[in-house]
Amino acid sequence: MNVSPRSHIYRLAALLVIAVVGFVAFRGFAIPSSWDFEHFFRADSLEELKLQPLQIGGNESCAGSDCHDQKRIAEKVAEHKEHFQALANGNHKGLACENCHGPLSAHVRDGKHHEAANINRDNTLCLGCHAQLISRPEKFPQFDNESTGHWYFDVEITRLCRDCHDPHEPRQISAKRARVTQTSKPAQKDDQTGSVR
Amino acid sequence: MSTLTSKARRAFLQKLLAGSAAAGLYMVYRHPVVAALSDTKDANATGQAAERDFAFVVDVSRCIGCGQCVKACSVENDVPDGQYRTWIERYVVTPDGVRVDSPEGGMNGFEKLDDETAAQALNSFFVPKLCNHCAEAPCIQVCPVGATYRSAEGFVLVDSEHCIGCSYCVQACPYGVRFINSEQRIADKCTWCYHRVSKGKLPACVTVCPTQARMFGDLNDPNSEVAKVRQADQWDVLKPEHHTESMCFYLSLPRVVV
Ligand code: HEC
Ligand code: HEC
Ligand code: HEC
Repeated sequence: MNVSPRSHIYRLAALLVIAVVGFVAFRGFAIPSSWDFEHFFRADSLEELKLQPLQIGGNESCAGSDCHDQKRIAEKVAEHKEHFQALANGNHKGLACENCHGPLSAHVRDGKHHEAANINRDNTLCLGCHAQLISRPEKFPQFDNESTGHWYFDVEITRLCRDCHDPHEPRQISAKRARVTQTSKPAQKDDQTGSVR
Repeated sequence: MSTLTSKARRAFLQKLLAGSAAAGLYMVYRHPVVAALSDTKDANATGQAAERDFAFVVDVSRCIGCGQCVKACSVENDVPDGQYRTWIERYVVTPDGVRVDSPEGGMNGFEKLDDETAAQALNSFFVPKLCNHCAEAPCIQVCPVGATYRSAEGFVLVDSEHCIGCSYCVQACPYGVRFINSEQRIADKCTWCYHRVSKGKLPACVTVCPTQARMFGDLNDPNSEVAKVRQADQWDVLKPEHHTESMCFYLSLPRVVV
């Protein structure tokens, strides 16, 4: 049998074909099926990312309708509604229930009550936002024992804030409690400019 | 070379050729490009023009540094301890220079400044930081496997299935918002809570911010706060010299902030 003088070229060509086919095959398997060639990403990942569960519910979930249908907790629902109203109309209207009561996911799971929401009754809660810091915007109300209201009732920073302030409507001062330590002071402070930040 | 081995080799090569031709045909048939061409409906689904174009606004003059946003973000996204998708920096400008701190990302608020620094301070403020979801994101450009991308609605996202954790993107980001998740060992960063926004909610940090220092919305909706801010044209972006086309607009941003 005569070997063709060009056989080495045929062999090389064959190897090249194999290499190209091998590469195309490998590439085909390596590229995910939903690959978007225009934007260069795996389109399915968008749907996958959407599956992440929510933890923070937002105020709408506290005022939400789901809980209202459950008669068993009607009383609690009323209480929530009340707080919701207070919060929505008072000085704390920008706040989320979850600012003070922790994430919804710790309290409600699968639409059912899971655990009692966290209630921090300490001053640390209020001072987290209201402690005096020079970095805070000057117009933001910060605890000041020299301010008129506090001076009048001799409030020290260690005194429980919620003795006087309703956390859900902080401008609502509980005068009854406040009076407990009230001394005989004039109704107005003489030097109102005396308070310093 | 004996004729026998030569024949056997020729037969083998012929089979290999035939086999790879068959495999090749199958691959061409199965190939994504061909699939995309033969199924136009699927191809349009991702290339669709978005009707929404999201942006974020941070008002530095409103931030009180309470840390609620950092806390909420960590819970919402299960961010490992010690890593932060968003954080708050406290700037203290003194005659000796600028001091910046961010203890635990500002998660638990800030302690009072020591008396010496406080006395020196000429100016002090809090700056919340997060992913800027740049329109020309350097992190996307450097990803070798296409595991990070900008969605049609403006979210810069990480495909956790596809990411190989090479951390090129971590180095490429001029804002330092990316990190390698210490548990999953892949690139991680703020997503503007894509999973929440796709369900019609606001990002977790925006939801809990007590002073509305953080705002989020659709630039194509003329009534949204972010569209108004953008229109009013009084905003700044971080590191404009990098030309990243940041989509995070800062209000009242002092010049020292980097
Ligand atoms: C500023 C922080 C703060 C915010 C915001 C807040 N709460 Fe409260 N909440 C408290 C504190 C503190 C108490 C405990 C009051 C007490 O015992 O005197 C409390 C008590 C409650 C209670 C009573 C629980 C019990 O067993 O006594 C309910 C219910 C409640 N909050 C619901 C809500 C809802 C709903 C919202 C959102 C609309 C909300 N709270 C927002 C701080 C807050
Ligand atoms: C998550 C942050 C946060 C927490 C926690 C918080 N507050 Fe507030 N508080 C605010 C904001 C924001 C305002 C509104 C400030 C404004 O109007 O500029 C406010 C307003 C107030 C005001 C009215 C100030 C004024 O202008 O007259 C009082 C009083 C007050 N809070 C007391 C409290 C007390 C007491 C607590 C603890 C139960 C508390 N706050 C917890 C953020 C907070
Ligand atoms: C003995 C009652 C009492 C206690 C306790 C108290 N406050 Fe007040 N607080 C007041 C009164 C009264 C005002 C003035 C309200 C007004 O002007 O309507 C006030 C006003 C404020 C204001 C508005 C700004 C200002 O200074 O006028 C803030 C903020 C505040 N309180 C935070 C706190 C915090 C935080 C605590 C806990 C560390 C606290 N208060 C404890 C009675 C109290």
